[in-house]
Amino acid sequence: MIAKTKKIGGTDNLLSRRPAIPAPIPDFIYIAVNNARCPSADIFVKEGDHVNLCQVIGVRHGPFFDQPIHSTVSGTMVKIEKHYHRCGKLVDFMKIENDHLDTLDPSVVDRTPEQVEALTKDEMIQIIKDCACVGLGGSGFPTYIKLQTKEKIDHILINGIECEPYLDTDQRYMMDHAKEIIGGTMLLQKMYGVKDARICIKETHPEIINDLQAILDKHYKDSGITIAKMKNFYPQGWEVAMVKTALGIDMEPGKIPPMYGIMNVNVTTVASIYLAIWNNRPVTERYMSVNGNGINAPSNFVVRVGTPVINLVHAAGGYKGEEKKILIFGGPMMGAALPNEDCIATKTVTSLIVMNESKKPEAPCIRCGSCVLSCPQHLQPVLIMEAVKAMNKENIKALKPLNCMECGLCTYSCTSGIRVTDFVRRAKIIAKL
Amino acid sequence: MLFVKETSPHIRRKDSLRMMLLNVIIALAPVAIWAYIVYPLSALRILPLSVATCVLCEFLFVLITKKDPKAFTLENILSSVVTGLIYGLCLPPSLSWDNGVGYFVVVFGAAFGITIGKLVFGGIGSNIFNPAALGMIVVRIFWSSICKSDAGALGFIIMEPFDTSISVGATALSYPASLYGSVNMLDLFLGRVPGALGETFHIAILAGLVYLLVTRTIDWRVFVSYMGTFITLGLAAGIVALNKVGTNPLYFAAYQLLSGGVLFGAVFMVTDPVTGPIASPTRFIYGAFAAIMAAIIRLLGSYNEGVGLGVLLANMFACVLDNPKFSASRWNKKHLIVLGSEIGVALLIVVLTLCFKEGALK
Repeated sequence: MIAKTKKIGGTDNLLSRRPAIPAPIPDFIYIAVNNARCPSADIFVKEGDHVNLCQVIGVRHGPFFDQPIHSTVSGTMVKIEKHYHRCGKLVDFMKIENDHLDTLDPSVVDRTPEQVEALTKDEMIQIIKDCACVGLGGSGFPTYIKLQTKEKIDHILINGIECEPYLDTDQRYMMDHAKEIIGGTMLLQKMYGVKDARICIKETHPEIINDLQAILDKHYKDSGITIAKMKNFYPQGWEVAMVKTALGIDMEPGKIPPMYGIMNVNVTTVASIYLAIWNNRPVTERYMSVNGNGINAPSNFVVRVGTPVINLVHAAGGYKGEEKKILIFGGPMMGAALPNEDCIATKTVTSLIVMNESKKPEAPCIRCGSCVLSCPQHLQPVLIMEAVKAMNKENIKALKPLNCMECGLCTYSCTSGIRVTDFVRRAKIIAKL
Repeated sequence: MLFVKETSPHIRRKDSLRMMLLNVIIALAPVAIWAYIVYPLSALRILPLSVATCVLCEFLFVLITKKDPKAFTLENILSSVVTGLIYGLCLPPSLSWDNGVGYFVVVFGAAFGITIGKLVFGGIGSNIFNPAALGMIVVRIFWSSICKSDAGALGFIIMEPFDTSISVGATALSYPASLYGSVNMLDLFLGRVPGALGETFHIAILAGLVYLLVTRTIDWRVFVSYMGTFITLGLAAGIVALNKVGTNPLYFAAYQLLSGGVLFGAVFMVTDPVTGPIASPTRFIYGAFAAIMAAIIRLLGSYNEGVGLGVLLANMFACVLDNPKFSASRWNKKHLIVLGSEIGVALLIVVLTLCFKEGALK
């Protein structure tokens, strides 16, 4: 088939915004010491120490930032173990025995409206840094660095699009936590002195749009927050596509939204900013969809950060079928497949997708051009693949593979079932040399 | 429980190469059936023979290169069936079967086309030339007498009205008056004229076209640019050359379009994705180039079937269009200049040549 892929078909949403039920809090919680962005860390607690919920138990060092590590339960520090992180590597995790008391750390104090009103931009950013807010849509990028931008911000976009199939997390979150999302958006408006803030939601979710609109009309009439209806295609949730649909601005490859006066934040992240500023509380639990055709009871869960994957699988009724399984953190288009069940859900994991293996036989490329038509960055994946096979560095660079954000549409659209995205990934490595 | 570690994405679109090849065969079916109804004896000899030859060549190729008969997949079969069908439908039904000449011609062309046009480059997806077009052209050149004898079957020759000195084929149609007097447009459209096995049945070809477009098996861009360019050149030639002999240019363009294998080639040959370029703008340029070659060869050349040659010439052009420095998925200035200048130059060539030829004749 020679056609552009707009919608990802064949994966009916099995969840349809079911209520998020609290997943059982496990007896042992695992907190990552390092992660993909932070290679080193200091740990402040020893084996046998008692820790409180939300207590700072260490600090990760990134290349240009530090990030405090918070405990997500109260209990006893057991030891450091190796488990798989969502980035696919074995990394150190602090194992904490849960006493199921959730004794709150004294550092978690609610702020009064007067106190919040008095906060300056720098103070707010400091609080957000201390609470280790990161991009909860999956990027894990430290929010305070993003917020520190020197550019003048004119528009705030709150990303509630969630365009990958199977995902239900943000949709459910928006239904349950309108107050936090709107409150967080108002904090951002105050921070930049901007009136124009838009919550971006797909037009195919009229229930959510109507709900939020009613709340905005009733309680936040003069806030300036509006709802921008987004189109139903993949990758609408990608910031470039979102900016284009919401504001009509075409972003050039390699540029970020603040350069165009836009601050874009995910809905869950904005709620975590609200939590940090008003309650001085880091993220200890999050919404997660457990979904896919390889799980018995697809569910939305409120998951304590640090819960092992296997607990989530059990909570969702276990594996369905005897086929080999693909475990995915994130959506089925961009999410990474986990090597095995011994993985821990960190706070940037939006979902766990369990899929039965389905092999599409690989045939020779017939140059149908579906990948070229589908690429949202207007690259030519098939030519990149040919250049990589020929190891033609000059051609690889001319094809600009570094603009690729690995949305996976080229592999998805391939008539011959070739993993084109893998060749583009290799081209990115070669182009950087 | 076992786990698969694979790279993203983890889901795929529901289509396959098999489905695409099968769609081409389905689209060719009405043409083949019509050919069977009109020329039962020839169709029954040519089509099975050419298809069998192609499949056999493909099988031998897989056997030699992969050394494993199991590597001969459904894709191999379907792809060679497509080649064999298209090639067979391009052959004249009046092939002589005395002494087995016709059989040899069919087998030779099919084997040559698929082997030299496709297999030596590495089989499915690696070929530079359209194997069916190559086989057809080779047969036409090697056995030109057999292939031309069927009274303009291979496209009515438009050059004859102006230049009787170059006398090839279709000799009955020597002057515009007799040309247009003897051919009814409806007859042309319905295939009530002599011609290659499959190329005259325009209703069947259009049905195939609709099916291919609906199932997105071919790219509409190539087809549209091919037809657009061909009609433009036909109209231009009609305006320049025929107004002096009193013929309507629209009529002339329609005649060009309906005679010979233009529509068949535009639907089934030019649109072959393997031998064409990859991006949308370059596909427009490619389609226009193939049409220009076909039109120039038809209108000005002494060879009587431009479509197949035009496809082969455009095939060679495709790798230039796919150069990373030129190819892009969105239109840019370079593409517009190339497309504009190729059509402009073609118009100039057709118009000037026809002017001078006509002048010389008178």
